[in-house]
Amino acid sequence: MGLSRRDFIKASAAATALAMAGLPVEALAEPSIRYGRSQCRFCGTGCTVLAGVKNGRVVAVKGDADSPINFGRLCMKGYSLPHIMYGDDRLTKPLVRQSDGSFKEVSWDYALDLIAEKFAELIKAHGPDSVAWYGSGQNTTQEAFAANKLFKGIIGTANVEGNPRLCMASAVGGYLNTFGTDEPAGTYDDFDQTDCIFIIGSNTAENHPMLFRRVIDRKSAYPDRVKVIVADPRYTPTARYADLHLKFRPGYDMYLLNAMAQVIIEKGLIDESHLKYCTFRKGLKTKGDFVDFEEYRKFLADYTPEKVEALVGVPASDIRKAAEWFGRKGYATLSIWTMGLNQRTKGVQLNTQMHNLHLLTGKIGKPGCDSLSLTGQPNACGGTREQGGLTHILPGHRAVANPKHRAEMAEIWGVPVEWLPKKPTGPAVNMFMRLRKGKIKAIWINTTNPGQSLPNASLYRDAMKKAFTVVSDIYPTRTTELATVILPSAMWVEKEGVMGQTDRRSQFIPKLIDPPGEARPDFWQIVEVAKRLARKLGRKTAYRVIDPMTGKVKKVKEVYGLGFETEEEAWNEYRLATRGQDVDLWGATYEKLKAHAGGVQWPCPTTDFDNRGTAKRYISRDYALSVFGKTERNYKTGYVTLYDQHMVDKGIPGPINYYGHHPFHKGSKGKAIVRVLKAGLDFEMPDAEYPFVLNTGRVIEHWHSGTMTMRVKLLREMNPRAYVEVSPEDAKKLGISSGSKLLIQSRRGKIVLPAWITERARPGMVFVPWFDETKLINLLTVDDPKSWSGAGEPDYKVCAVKIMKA
Amino acid sequence: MPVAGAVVVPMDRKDEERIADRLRAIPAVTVEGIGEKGIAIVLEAESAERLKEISESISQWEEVIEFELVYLNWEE
Repeated sequence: MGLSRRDFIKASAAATALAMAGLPVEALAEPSIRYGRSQCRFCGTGCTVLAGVKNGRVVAVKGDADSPINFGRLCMKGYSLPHIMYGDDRLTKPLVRQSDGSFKEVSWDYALDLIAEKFAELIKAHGPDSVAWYGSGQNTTQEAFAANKLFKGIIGTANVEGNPRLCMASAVGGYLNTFGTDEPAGTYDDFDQTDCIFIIGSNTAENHPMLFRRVIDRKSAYPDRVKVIVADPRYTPTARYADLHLKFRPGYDMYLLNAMAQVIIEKGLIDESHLKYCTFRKGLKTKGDFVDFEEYRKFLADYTPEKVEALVGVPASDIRKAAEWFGRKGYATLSIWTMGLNQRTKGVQLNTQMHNLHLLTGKIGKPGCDSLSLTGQPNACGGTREQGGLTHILPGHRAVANPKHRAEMAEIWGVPVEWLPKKPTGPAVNMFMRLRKGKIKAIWINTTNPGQSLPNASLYRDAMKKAFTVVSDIYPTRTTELATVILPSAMWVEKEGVMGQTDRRSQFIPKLIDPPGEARPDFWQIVEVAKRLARKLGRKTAYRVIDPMTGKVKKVKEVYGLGFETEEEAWNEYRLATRGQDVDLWGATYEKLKAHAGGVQWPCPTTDFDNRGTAKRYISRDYALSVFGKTERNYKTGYVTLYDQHMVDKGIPGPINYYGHHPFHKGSKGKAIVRVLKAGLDFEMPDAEYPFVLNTGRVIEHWHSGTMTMRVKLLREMNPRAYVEVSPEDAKKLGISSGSKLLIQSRRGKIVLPAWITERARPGMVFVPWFDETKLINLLTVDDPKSWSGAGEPDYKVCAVKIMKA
Repeated sequence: MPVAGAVVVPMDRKDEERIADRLRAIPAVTVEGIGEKGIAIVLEAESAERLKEISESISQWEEVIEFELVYLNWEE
């Protein structure tokens, strides 16, 4: 007797649960479904997934058991991947706004010609800085590279920004200020070898569930040895799991981290042998003097736990316990954080303070040790940080302001160096401020939703509506409603590309199905606009063929356009741009990326097929052997090295070498910099008029502005609308109960939301998720440049509000 | 009717039989087995809302660390 469809589904559910619980299970397979390996479309973890295709549609998804990231598991959002593609209102035709405000369907040729015509007209009349690109950490690297080349290489403007500026720019600033080069030293494998996990400013359980699963695995295996510390003003599901929850007052975490450093030194938990690879320096960037360890120790005397406990709102004994667990001699410590540190006025300082703790204790470069900033989007690292998708940077960790770097990129792009902009313009919110002032007159917004995500959004919504605004997206959003031209995009496995995640990892996403209607890949859109626009500007580019194994470049002809036609050609040009750089992806051939579940980790200078790159940076082969007992980690296919391949490639001496090259790192001679930083607060702290702190963020069911997850019935039903978390103590004072309507008002806007009275909230603080497009919480958040971190990232975590019954 | 597969992870492994018994008492839940990484269950609920209620309620049990959803289908 055969299985019914329902029996099959139940058997599949049982089989998956049994396998994940570590029990044997008979394989189940539906032969008509063809699976292709891809990467999850959501967060920055980069879980490897197998997408099941039947009759031209994705009908199933499962985790890839071969993946060294998620080992076959997926979270609720991951399991919803097939359903994000089939919302009823998917955009399938180009649309152009009419004079009465309605949108009219047009042909692709009409839309592309219109965009090229308008951009060319503005560039000729007002210069290249009159147009702009606003991309996304969800663009593939090829899309981001193509857009970067079009705007910086051909048009000649540095008006290239993206939403990663809103989520991880401070993390970049932190790595650059400490190590002189971006992105972490370690890898996800550190979760499996650590003895202490310090989580700050991250609700990992809800927002990076598969990494949190690795936290649970490690803690469950060694419940007494492994300590989990969570520092968060909210009592989140992550905090619930902690051995120690540091529920600090919002805004006071710089005091907390300096106090932990003070205890680490006072208790002799520093690693003397590692301090010789560190210098100490006052302040950030290139300013400030080098100081010695003794001066740093004296500086921290003002931050003993007893002196700061009242400010921080955490008992001194808990701060001491956290520091002592963090610094335990002979044990490993891994720290992770996300937006709670990054989206802060002091975001860069907070990031460097985290690195300080690891440098002092020597808990870096060893098994289970790292200072690991998690990213929020699936390609913020690859498409933006590495590829150079912000105003001040060029591909391969190069700088716009550096003439040598410009010359190198002009050569790789096959364009005259004079075309490239010589200096940056401004970070994301500044770009929208210039749009509002009319200095930028046309903008192409791609795969992101600034109409919902920008702080103080109402100002910039008006600006987008007045300008010539092109929006490429998959569904109608609060940004497409402001557009002049809407381009319907392909998504996820409807197109091909590479994405790069948190631990310097790049993975390949194959095209498995066709997009619906006339929707087209964003890469194709950029290539087609570039052809038309370059012709109108009279700017030809060299079309070359790059040998993927040798890098030999053969110039074929001069063309109007980007000089490449396919995603693979663009990837090979991008690989060339990283070759020999610290972010070396030359070894990440298409062949290799397709073959290995979990992809390749840079630096990966060699095209040797089995070599999947570097797991641990800044350490030599001998040092790796001494601390790991081996030099490589083998996977089912291929291996990563436990030593830094860039050091070998460039002959950089070990055993430990923080070889950063960034100007922030100038003069440090291969040493990491412990930044000596006075504690400070966020720009807009509560006061008598606005006595509450508003904190915004994500929830487990939804991702970012809800464009995809709100199209999934189950996720929508599970969490249909925004709400405001209020502590029981504040609820009592306000005389409200769950469901009561509350008016939340900041200096910029107001909103009415139902209250959820919960222990999650800290007294004096309210939390509102931002996924709900019908309730724009970012009408309230702060956009003042003084609130931005040193890396230009706005503060979405601390803004002052008042709340009252509506 | 949505169908889900999940792994319920006990706070302490010595509680797993007791948790499994509690789970068996829920009509929508079938306990499929107890493994080293948790208790494998199948959940079958009349609506997504009900599925959410059950899973949230389990995840709130004191002796449970995590309710890990590993399979989800609501096509029928």
